[in-house]
Amino acid sequence: MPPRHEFDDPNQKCIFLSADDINDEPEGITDFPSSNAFAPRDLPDGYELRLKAYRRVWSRCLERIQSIVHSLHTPVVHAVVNDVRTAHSKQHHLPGLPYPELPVIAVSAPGGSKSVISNVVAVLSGGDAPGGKGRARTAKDIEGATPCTISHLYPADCTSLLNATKSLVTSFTNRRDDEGRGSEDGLQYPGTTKGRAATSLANYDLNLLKVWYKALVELNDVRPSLVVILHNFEQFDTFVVENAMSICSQHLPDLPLVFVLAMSAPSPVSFLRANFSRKTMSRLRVHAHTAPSGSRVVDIVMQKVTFFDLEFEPDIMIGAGALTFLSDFCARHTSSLDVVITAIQLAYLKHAEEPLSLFVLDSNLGEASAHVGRKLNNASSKAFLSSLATRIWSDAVPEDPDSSPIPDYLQDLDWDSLSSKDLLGIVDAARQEYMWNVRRMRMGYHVMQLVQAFMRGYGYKPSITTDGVEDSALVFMRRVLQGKVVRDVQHLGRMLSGVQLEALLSKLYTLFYELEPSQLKQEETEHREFIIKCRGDLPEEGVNSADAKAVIAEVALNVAQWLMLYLEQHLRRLDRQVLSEVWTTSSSSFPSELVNPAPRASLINALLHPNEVIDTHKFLFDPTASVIEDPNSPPIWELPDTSILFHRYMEAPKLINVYDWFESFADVLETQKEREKGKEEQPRPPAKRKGKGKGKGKTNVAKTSEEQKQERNEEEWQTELQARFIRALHELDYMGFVKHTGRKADHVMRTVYDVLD
Amino acid sequence: MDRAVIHAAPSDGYANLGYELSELVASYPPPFVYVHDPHTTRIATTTVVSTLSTLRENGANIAFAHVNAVACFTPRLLYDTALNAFAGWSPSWEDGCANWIGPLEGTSQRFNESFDGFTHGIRAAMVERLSDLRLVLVIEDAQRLKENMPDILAPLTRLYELSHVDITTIFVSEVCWEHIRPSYGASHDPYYLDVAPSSKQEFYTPDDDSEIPLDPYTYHPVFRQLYTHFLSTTYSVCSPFTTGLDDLSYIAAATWPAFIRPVIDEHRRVAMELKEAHQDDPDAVPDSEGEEEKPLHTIVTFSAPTEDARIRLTRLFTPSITAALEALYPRQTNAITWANANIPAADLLSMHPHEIPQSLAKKVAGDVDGERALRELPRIAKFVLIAAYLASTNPARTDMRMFGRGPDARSKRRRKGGSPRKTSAKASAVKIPQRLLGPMPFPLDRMVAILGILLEENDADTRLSAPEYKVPGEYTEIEISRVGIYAQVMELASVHLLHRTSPSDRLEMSPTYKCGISYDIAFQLAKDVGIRLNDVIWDPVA
Repeated sequence: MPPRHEFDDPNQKCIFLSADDINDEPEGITDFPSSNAFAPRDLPDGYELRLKAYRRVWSRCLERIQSIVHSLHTPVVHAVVNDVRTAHSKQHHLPGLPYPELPVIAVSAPGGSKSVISNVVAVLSGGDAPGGKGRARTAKDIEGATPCTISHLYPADCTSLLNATKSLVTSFTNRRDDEGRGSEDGLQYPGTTKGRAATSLANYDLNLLKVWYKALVELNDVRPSLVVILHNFEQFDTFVVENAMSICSQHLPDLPLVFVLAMSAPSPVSFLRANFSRKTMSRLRVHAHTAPSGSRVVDIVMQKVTFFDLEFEPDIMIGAGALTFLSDFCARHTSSLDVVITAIQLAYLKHAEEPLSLFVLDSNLGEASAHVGRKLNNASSKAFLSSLATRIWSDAVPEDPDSSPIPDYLQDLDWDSLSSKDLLGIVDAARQEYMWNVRRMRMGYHVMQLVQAFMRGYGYKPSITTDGVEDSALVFMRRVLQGKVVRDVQHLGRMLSGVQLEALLSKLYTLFYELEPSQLKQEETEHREFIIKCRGDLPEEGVNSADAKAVIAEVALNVAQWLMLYLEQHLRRLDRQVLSEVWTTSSSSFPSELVNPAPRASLINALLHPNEVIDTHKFLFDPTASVIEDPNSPPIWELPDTSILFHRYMEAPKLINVYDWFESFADVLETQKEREKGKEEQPRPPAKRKGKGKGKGKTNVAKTSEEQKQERNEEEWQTELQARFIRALHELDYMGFVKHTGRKADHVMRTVYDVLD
Repeated sequence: MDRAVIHAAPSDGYANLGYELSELVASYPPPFVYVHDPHTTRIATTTVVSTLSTLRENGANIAFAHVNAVACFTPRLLYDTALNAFAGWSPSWEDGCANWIGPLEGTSQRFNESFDGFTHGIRAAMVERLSDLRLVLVIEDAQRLKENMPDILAPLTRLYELSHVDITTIFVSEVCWEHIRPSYGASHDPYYLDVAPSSKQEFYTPDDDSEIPLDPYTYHPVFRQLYTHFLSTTYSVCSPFTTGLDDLSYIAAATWPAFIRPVIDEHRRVAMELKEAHQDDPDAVPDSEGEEEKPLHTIVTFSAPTEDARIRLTRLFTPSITAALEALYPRQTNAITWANANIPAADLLSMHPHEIPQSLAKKVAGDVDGERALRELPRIAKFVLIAAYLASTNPARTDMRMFGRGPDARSKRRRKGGSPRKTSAKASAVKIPQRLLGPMPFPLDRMVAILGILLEENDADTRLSAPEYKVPGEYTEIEISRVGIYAQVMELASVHLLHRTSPSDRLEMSPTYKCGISYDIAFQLAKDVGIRLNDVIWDPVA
């Protein structure tokens, strides 16, 4: 808290109140427990344990995604590095050109991913790309390559042409060798020079760079390329960059400059042509590279590698809820990797809220296995155990016993006398069964994909959708998870008789034969043998008799039946398994508000209905509290000051007369004062005022005690009214609801014209 | 390998310029010369500089400085460059990159401080070298002086008077002197030298005999005649669009390797047959193993193709030259990529005419096709672009009529697809449709409002179900206030599909934008998302 004299000092224009100083938070808000939505059925240290498990699961998943993305970007990175290294070599030199062109290599990563350009820089600097495997291609690996020295320019450095050329020149000329170790790119740089700034070449003069380069060449006996990387190229001032490039092109071939543009525009050449004059464009030799991006990358990451890959088993499967959100968001808003990563992380985090997700990795509960029993026998773990038992019981007794039989490990159980050890045993068995089912589902998914791709090759439409358009990979994955592909399977089975059986069977055989994890290969032995048998049954190629046709038809029928059975067995709904929600993220809801919120709508809603919003939050954090369902909204005088003012604002015309606004506000406060007075006289339930939000005005009311009220004369009340008005007005102003146009004296303009609901 | 290079005659226009200039500088040069070349100032400057160099080499007592007004964008850069050149001084890294300071060494004064200092510097440079030295200051792209350094434009033209030395200022520019002339007669009228436009094919020709990434016989001297014919074809194909020598040379350089390739291949085939015949001959001495392959021209006599072959080649490659013009003139790709991508089939000349494809030119892959990239935009981005196009083309006052969906607004709405209002023949000016005038700026709020209508009418069915929104239109209302929409606008603005017209640091007002897509693209996008664009455009395209 600032010292009191600061408040009294009339010369003090501004007093800083730090967040720590404000200690007038209403009770009940500061002591929100970390997450006790599930407190009654949680272990005492459950939250921390779950977060630990989440961290392990998520980091494994993220690592996987990054390695996939890296492998997707590698070809582009190598192409860019190749172009940079050979930019001034003979292979890019065409005789007969009127003048040397400035090599410009545009690297576009739509969606704004920075990883491509950072990998390029890493490889150019002689290191390996982060996360990459194997040795990077160095200058020696590329024919005609030259060494290069790199500098980076950012939009903030290039606000004017002078600044841009200055940054360009000094980024090279200020290079110094690290003491005794040489520089990263293996070049020795000329030492500092002692010249008078005024009588030497200006530090924004490209001639200075030329002189420096001459010294560099003499020192190293090679002619390295000078690579300039322009980060966030779209943010640069076009005029500045255009002129800078034009100047640089005049110093060719004395200065072998290479510009690398890190862009996010989907079509780099179109972007450059739209923004640069033809004269400048004709000075450049543009090579464009676009990194794979958008829905293709999202599909690959989600489909082939992350969750439906035979080689990788994520610890938590993404549920239909998150997949629905992802497929919708990617199609509508942006198909970027960031969205995928954020969505998966959010789904995982939300999953970690569920107490039972403690069992994601193991059943040790964070203890050595000997102590698990003791921990569970504690009184505080009772609720947790009973909720676990209830969940297992409800999962084990399905609504329709025919569709999913009760697993072996749950049969012949004495439900009344289950010990904690038994329960943990069931969890382990359920985990094993779940993982087995997930593996089978992945296998089924791959077989289905293979057959679909094969059918597509023969011009069939392998999947049926309502509007005749084929689903995207994400939507299809979601339907697989929800078990909604039965129709597709049947459709496939019906179509199969007509296609080239031998080719399909050989493809299937290759898939089964090349299965990587040996366990999976063993599990699928039976099917592999069936395929071998079918292939053996087929007549020799070229035989065209009636018998042969009959045999083919019979085999086709067999294969179709097998395929339908196989897919139906393998593509089972995961959420029907016992304890499936431990290893699958929620299938119904995804916190999409966190990714794509509507802040203004929420703000207006909170200002109009503060009590409801606070109550909702209260319920979220404290389930024991009961939400009072009041169909009638509370009278306006019960609301906090800002809210009252906002209500009056919404009723006002486009231009608000501030004095009228104050009058209407004062009216409500008068009512509030009278009612409070009335209530003070009658005994009132003390809990009534609790949880009515953070409204600052309300605290003032609470603080006014009986004596103070009586002592306060009318003048003081008026001052308080004005103070409270100004405070509320400034809060609204701060939130952007008031526009000071200055068009009319004492009037402000509304910025929101929504109709009150 | 005796490979010479092909040279063409210099252009008449530039030859005249060089001749006239050398006469002037050698005798009594006017103090201010203005060289106007509306086509290629680069060549005009090169001509001027090479003429001056030749004069100096021939013993004329001159010193000259060549300054590019684009590169020297501040007075100091101009002074430094000019004075160093006049004094014949080249800075070095070891002595701190110092400029020439001549007599000022040891003092705190310098020549690059002001124009006055510059004139003193010129005098000092003159004194240091020879007293009867003639100085020439060549300023390329002089039109840039008007933007960058308007203050010294007039003094530069009067340098002769101000410095009291024998100095000539030569401006080389693509614009007329009238466009950059300082006001109030601050400078003399210059001596004009205009470069006549080239009337025939005079190209820059390769003079580089170093290693090239092409077939080594591409520029063999025996093809000189053919090359001249090729240039004439290129000129006739391209001249309706451009006569700039640089452009023509660029296109010729990119297409010649493909043009000559069939001829070289034919020679190679003959050589191969000869070699095989030679090997079949039992009397021939077999080549020893590992012997290097003999150069082609030692096996077969190189000769220019016959007239028939030439005509056939020309006919085959004319469409290819047109394609090169279309791709290279706007720089959709670059010459080396084009040349590498368009190497024709090896046995082109021996193929039957029916087997040869219609056009030999191939589309160069590499850059993603702009339109396809746009079509792959996410759904909301397409809606935003269409809304922005509408906001940029429809006048704001028509919004209520076009998009008003209240009970009474519908009746006011204009007839769908109706023709624009009939104007009487006496109407003073023909109204030009807005889409031809370019996009109008619009405030973001207006665009978002239009977006809301478009989404409500065309997108409501494809959304995820949300039972919590009960009031009609409420779902759309929430959707358009979501962060995703604003992020999309920023994203589109960053790739210049929308152009922000209000400064980004002004937060207190609704930002204004302009649409960056054309009608055709908007139409395609609208088709993709199922909007009938002509129904929502105020001035529909017939």
